[in-house]
Amino acid sequence: MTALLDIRDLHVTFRLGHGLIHPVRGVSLSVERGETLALVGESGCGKTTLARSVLGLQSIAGGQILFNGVDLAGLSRFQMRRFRPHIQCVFQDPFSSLNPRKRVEVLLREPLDVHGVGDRRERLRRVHEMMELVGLPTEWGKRFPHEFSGGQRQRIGIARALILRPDLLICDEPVSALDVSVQAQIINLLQTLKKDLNLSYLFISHDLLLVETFADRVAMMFKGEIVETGPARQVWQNPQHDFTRRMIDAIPVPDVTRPAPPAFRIDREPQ
Amino acid sequence: MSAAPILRVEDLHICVRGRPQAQILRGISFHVNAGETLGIVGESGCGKSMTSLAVMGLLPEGVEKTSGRVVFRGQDLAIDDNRAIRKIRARRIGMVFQEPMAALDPLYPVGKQVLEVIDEHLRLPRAEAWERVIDLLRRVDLPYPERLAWSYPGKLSGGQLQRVVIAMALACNPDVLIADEPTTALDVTVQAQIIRLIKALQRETGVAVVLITHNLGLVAHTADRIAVMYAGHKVEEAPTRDLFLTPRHPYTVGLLQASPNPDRNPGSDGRLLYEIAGTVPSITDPMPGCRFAPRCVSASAACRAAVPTMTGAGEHAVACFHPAQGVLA
Amino acid sequence: MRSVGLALRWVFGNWTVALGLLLMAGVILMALSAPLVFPRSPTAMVGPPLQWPGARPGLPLGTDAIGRDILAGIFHGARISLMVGFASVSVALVFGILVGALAGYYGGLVDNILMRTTELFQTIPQFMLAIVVIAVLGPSINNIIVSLAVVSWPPVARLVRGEFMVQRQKAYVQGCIVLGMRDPQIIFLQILPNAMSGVVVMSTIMIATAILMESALSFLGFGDPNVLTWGTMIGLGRNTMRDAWYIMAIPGFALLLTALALNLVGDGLNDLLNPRLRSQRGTR
Repeated sequence: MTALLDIRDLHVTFRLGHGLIHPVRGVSLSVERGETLALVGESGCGKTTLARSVLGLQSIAGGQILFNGVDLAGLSRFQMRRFRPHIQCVFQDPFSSLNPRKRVEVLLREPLDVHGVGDRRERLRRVHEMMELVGLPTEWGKRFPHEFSGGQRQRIGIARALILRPDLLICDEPVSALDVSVQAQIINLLQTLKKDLNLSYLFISHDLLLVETFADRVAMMFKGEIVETGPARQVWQNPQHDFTRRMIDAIPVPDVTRPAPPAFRIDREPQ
Repeated sequence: MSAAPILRVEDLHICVRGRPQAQILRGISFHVNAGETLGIVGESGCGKSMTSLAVMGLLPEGVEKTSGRVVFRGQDLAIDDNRAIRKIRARRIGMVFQEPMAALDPLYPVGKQVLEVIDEHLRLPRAEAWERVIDLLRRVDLPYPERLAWSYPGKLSGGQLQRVVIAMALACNPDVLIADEPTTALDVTVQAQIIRLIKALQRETGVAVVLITHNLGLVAHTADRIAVMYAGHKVEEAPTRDLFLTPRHPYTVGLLQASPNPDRNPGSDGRLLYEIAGTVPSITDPMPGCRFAPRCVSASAACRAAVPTMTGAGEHAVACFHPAQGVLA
Repeated sequence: MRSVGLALRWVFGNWTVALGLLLMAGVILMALSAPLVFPRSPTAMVGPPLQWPGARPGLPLGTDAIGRDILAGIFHGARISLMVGFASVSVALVFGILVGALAGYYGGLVDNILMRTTELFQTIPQFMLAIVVIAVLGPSINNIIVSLAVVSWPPVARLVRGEFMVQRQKAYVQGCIVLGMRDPQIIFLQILPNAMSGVVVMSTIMIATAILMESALSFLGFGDPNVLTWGTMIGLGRNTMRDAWYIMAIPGFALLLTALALNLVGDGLNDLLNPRLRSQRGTR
């Protein structure tokens, strides 16, 4: 059974000043239907560039991006259009990810307008349906983004991304800017929606501890390369690669019955 | 050595200037002793950052203190008097903030900026002051300090910049170090390095540390005592172990349960994380009772009628009419 | 409802804005009522020449060297000034926004070409260029509007380009691309509303500048010979400057008040539309 998303030996390069940088170096990974694959790495490892490549926001230097068997890599923007309703994304920053001049109802209706789904009444119905699904009262449709909290804005972002019923949702650090208690709400929402709407997620994060709570598989990214993949729980309990081990050693778990993270101990030699 | 706390905040009330009902801090009290680390934990809107700014006399324009005081080494710190507090700031109380680039001037080499702090407060001859700068940069584990001192902030990484800021904060051997989300903008491996650095410096110099963060994992392994803040109030305070093993305030319980923990994580099998329903109240919301009541599973009519005060035996205090009992599941 | 309250607070909260709006209202009123109050052409000779203001009843601002009613000239001149100002700025805005939006959105080669073109227009001194255009096209009101538009659009393009470059990177724009939205829709319906506040402020100043430039052109004799504008009136007063200086002073004063009014309103708009520019707290 073909994977929903199959990235093969992807390379991305771009010019910076007079030099060439190579943020994605031969990455191969796949997202199966119905699974959540977490892509974990530190800042600058290339995970966001990878996501942008899949979404067609970044041109690639080599490799393939197979979506349901079709290679998106060489497609023009015009050719990409028919795939758009199938691959959507949620961004990290709840403050800049929504057009501040548009009311929520309009923001949620725009995807339907762009792809000519249904008539006016049908679109409004779907907008309200989506708002309910993400836990927003439909009366709030007339409000503007700045009237909402960070967590609520992410809900709006999620609603906007899912209103076209995509198959794959790429989440780029969607909860990193939110408080812990709100994070839990959003993660739970994503989990519920995944089941109800038959979604697959490529979840990008720097927080291994967080993704271990809900991801099926984890891919660890370091300096443009995937260094380790495996079931989430296994990667956490039994890391194979040095980078994964170093990261886990540094993560402080909120549990006083565990020893302090080895990287916190001041009696050891600094790395 | 005196047993009195080196820094004590008493019943601090801060509100939006001109609007006494819009209270940002509603009577915050805490203290920190020499050599210990106090963790202040809370989410957005709890007022923890405003607390650190208040102690330093750095309250922004639109905000004012209405009552309460800050006592440093037994003396009342007149946080409204900019002249007086300038002598204390950096000299006796050092600060580290979340964004190192906010504390550093991109136009001057980092060494010069550390030097500036020394020049401002310690009357040292130039050569000696510069030696001290290099020494400080070395103590914060920056490589090739003599060379790095001439680097501009734009050339350094986030972790290196934060080390420079720590060097500046500790330049005059202060008694207290206030660190407000010092590692939030850093990668987790760099975070560990910075935390290790602060701990080592604390062991060396005996400086008291106030670590303000939303990251429960961080305070679990760095703080001796923790104060939990919610919506402008302090809701619980306890030694670290006690707080994590036997949290009393429903908000603390909720926070601990919502924090990812591999031993308690639901995993990918469809079960969900623990959620605290609802959102933080706005500062202008004139709730007469406990501000956590709308979201609290144990809330009663009494909770909505009056604000609970801190009660508790020994070192573990909680502001709640229905504190949780027993050990955290 | 909130915006109405905000608008009222803005107007009555700042005396400068209130003053600016009041003056503008006065000028607009003059312009609108000119054909009613002074149905005869302002170039008509209605009385003895060189009458001082108030010297004769019915001629509150006196007459000029050949007996034209100065007050009529002021009223009709207001009409012309406002029309020229608004028309030329409108054209400049349309063109400037288009150039700036495309340059800022697409970047790369498109940006290069458009910006070099903009710079070309900017390196030639504004007023000189205006005169050259008039010389080529011939002096008529329409050509004046064209020449002023040609001269005014580059700063708009630059401003809009800058705004677009900022907005282009924002997540909501990326989101629109991911949705499959086409570029024209993104440029004009998504980004442009967010880039307009600077342009609105700039346009009030541009109108003031256009009015002053038109007056200067008319003063020098490059204006439409069939139309009496404030600039023309000042020019005609040159010969009698020593004794009948009011002939120059009055239209000059009208210009001053109009430019002042526009500047005050523009300033007020700036405060209104960019409240976040007021300094945020430092974290030091």
